[in-house]
Amino acid sequence: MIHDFGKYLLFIAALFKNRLPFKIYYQQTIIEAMRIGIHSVGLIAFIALFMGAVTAIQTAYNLQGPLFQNFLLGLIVRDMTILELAPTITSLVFAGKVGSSMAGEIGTMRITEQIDALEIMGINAKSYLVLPKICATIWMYPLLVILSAFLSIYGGLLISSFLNLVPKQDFIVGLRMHFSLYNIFFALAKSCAFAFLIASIATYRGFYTFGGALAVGKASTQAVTHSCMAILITDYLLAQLLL
Amino acid sequence: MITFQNISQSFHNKTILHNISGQFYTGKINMVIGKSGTGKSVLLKNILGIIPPTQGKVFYDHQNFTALTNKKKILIKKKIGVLFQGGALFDAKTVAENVQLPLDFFTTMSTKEKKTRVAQCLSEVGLTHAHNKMPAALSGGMKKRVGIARAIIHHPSYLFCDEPNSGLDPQTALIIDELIQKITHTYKITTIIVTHDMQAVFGIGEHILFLDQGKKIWEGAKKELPNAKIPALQAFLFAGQIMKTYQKNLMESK
Repeated sequence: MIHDFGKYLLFIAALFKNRLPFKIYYQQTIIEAMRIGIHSVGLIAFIALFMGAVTAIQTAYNLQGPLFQNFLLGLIVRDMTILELAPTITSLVFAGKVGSSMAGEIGTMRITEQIDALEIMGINAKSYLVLPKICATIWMYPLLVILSAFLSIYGGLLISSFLNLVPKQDFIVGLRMHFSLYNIFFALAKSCAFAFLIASIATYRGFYTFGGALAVGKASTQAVTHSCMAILITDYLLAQLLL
Repeated sequence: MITFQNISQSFHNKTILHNISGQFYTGKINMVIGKSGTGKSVLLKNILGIIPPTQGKVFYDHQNFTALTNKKKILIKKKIGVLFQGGALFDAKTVAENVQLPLDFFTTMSTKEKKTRVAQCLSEVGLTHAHNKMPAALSGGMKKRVGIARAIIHHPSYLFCDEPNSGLDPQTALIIDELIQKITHTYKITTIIVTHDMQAVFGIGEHILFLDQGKKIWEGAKKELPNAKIPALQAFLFAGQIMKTYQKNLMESK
């Protein structure tokens, strides 16, 4: 495991050696941003809406009683969404979708000798293939988290109104109450860290694929499981450090 | 000219190549032949620097490639073109983009100049109408031809081909062989082909190196090949029924 971690660190360091012209990174990053970001909007939106709705229903269910103030529902949904659900739960789904795809893509390039072809041309294949993916993920994922947070809170508001859990105005009062901008900073900082972990772990797993189709499948699975573990550990560490 | 001295390669304490030395000549088609699993592709990867040899030296025109720094190795790598067994084309790029790739990285050519050079190379391999096709839409032979176009786009001094005929029908294989032969002689390239296709060996091969069980058994000109009194080489060359007939005719003509 220590050997693997060391190899991962060397892999990250190699991304910055023998760099290519900036124009090439720029073009590749735009292409990757489209694939990673724009193509994930639908899934993230779907998950966020239902995540918010379920959070509202379960919170209302647990907080029934005379001491429960209506505005608390909006406040709890907002803070849960911003602090945890939007950055962390979305990242686990994102690791499944984007991480496995990255590992599969690079793994296939490895076994079909496309990476060898780049290296023989004297191109730093790690830098050319991986760096744009990491940059695009760090760029797009926080935007997806903002969208996810917005839709999740909106989902909570919609379901609260629809099921008459609390009056709409009370929910909105809760949303505005004791709002801390630091929570947004915390969520975005987490998002950037998770984005880096997902992209770097997935590409690392893909890059060191050896064998055939079975190895590519294994690399994709490892990319997702290792990303999820890294996300949860980092989530704990950041919560301990920043809150 | 490429020279290699005492190349040995081991993986997990298992020796794949044993002390191999030899030469590949400029302007000639040099072939590495041998049974499957005998270490031909590993030797090719050693020479290309994809797998650094456990022991031994590789010289590209008297420059010790194995001892060079990475930056200096890149200068030599820019003079190398490689045709991979499966073509190794980038799935997400069109044929023209695949061929243009080395120019994007290493030249300051304008877009117009790059397009002209791509058109020239694709025309040379007979694919003038495939510019915008994706690799998935190409046949095996077409992929190999695109691979050749990409390998020669930056005027390489050395061309490596890893089993260029594998998976091709005899007619297409012949077209690929003739194409490699034409390119080698026109541009005076040092071409190295790893193969076990006897049609290619007797058709276009000029300098042959025979490996068996990770050892160099024989090296010499093609015309000396049938006279080499080495049982392993003779058994390999004339394994098929057609080649046995060829050998018989050869003996009778003497």
